[in-house]
Amino acid sequence: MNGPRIIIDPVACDAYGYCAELLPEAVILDEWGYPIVDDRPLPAALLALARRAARDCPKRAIAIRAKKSS
Amino acid sequence: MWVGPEHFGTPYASIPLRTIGAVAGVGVIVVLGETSCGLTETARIVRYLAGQSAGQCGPCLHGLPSIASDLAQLARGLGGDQTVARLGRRLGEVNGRGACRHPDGAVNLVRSALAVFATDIAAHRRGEPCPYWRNLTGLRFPGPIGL
Repeated sequence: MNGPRIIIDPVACDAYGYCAELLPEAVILDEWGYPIVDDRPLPAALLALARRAARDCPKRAIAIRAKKSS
Repeated sequence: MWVGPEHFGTPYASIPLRTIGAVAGVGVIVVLGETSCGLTETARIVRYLAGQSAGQCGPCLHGLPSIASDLAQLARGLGGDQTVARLGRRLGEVNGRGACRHPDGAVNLVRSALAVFATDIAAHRRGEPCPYWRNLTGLRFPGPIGL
């Protein structure tokens, strides 16, 4: 279960909210507009959309990658 | 975090504290007297912690002041079921969402307050705050911290 996931950089994120618009299947916003992401690996069908959301983030706060094992 | 009087005999060390679900934390110990309000004191600590946020991450920057306000509302007897529900949601939405663990510590403190002061919260949410909620006696801060 170590597939690619959405990783948010909480310091870079400035609550633009594009990610939730582009990828509502995996991103919802909290009451202040900051993304809450599904922690599970992305289904293959969503990968392209997730990469688009990462690319379109004005703050470059989204990465799509496997979770670092900790 | 708060622990109830039933644990007063617990040695202040990591392992004994862990057995009662507590942690050593930052090493500040305060014993609340009978004329203190645990809710008021928790609201003040969270207000202080909100001011100490580095302000780098939104959930901490916005979440901690909101959580402090929910607690202050409850402490004054102005918050009902809605406030309690909102507080619960906010705790979940702040926990683990910062780059550092500052907000998580605040969340743990509040969760312990919800457990230890459960009977007080029940009374406060019915609009019957304890007569001591204005007594800001439990803790001293570097600067003035209101509700």
